[in-house]
Amino acid sequence: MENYENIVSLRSPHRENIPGSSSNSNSSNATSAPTLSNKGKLVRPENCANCPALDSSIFCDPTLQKMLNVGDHRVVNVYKKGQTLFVQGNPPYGLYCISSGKIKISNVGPDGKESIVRIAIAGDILGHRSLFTGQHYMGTATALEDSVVCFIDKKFMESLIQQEPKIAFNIIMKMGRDLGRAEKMVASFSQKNVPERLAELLLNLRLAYGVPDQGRWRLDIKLTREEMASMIGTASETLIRFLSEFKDQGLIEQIGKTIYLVNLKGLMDLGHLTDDHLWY
Amino acid sequence: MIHYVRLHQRQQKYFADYGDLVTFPHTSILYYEGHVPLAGYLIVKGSILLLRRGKIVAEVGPGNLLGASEFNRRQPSPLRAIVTANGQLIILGYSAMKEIHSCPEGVRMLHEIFGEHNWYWNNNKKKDKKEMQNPPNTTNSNEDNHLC
Repeated sequence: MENYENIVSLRSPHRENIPGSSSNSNSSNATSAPTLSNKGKLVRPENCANCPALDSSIFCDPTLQKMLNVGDHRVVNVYKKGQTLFVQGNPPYGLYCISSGKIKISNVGPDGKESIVRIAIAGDILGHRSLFTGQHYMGTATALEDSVVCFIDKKFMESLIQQEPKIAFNIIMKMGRDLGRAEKMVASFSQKNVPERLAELLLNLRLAYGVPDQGRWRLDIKLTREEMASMIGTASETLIRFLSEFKDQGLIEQIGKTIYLVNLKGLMDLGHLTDDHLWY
Repeated sequence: MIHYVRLHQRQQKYFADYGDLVTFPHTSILYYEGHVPLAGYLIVKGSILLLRRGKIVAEVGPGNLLGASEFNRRQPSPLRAIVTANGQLIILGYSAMKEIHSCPEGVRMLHEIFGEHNWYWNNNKKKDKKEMQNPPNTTNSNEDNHLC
């Protein structure tokens, strides 16, 4: 049998860096399994039953999981902030299921401008549309914060859906909600001006990521001003100007990069919104 | 841990029957350092760059199988793998690996490639212990196995 100790090592100190490669070089010991990070709050579920997103995932029925052995087929990884799950234009070969964290899906236009089209949270699935339509990914998925993501291969997903229609129904429900959200966004873009769209965005972010904090709502999501601007189709300078105006009007507070929503009714009136109009 | 291995023509053809051929129009990171690869990747066209701490340590070309060992054991890789634009890969996911491992010829092929004691199927540890006690008469004929 071959003596593997004599095989040439892959270490080659004379190689150069790839130009344009990600700057997120992991200096952690890669031979150990991913562990808790993100201030100790990240949980890497050992099986689907321990998943913190159990109630909101497409596999939310525990009897379903037991029967189908989903846990055996998944690969779980911790994606650090800035790491990419998949790239726009590439083909899918499986489904991503978010256990915890936040992933942004962004689309880059022909001019190179990036727009966030969706933010996926725990319980959401990614890549399902491309997987089932046979199209390439329409956007790039990047972790907004340290996130635990499970990957399930395509063949298994297809057999799962044939075996258990409940899974297909759950996926259809998720896609229906995504479609509704997208349609509302399109309507907003065509019918509303920038401050109205900004008010709507802030209220929608509150629904998904708002945390009550001393009589106001803290947006527990780290988005740059540029990312927020792309979500409402404006320039970051315009966004910053209107955020200042909202602050002067007493609608929001800003402490560093964190935004607090103070006057929800005022924002809803500004955005001409009722609960039915909100995306989430 | 074997990170990539060059396959013979016969072995490539065998795995190609089980996996899906996927073309990557754009450069893409298949897995990061510290991640478990999502599948085994058999390179048909193009290349995969292997990086450690941002530096290229290897460029792996057609005919090589990458990530299968770590994927099978669900162990994180110490390397980052980047597929170059227009690369074509055969993706061997869990279902494909399970199919390969369910037939004796597949197991024989895997032992031939990785060496009997360097490969075991994650879900069949007990079975593999039995096989190890009564090993079949195989030798590893792949001379280009690469460790790190």
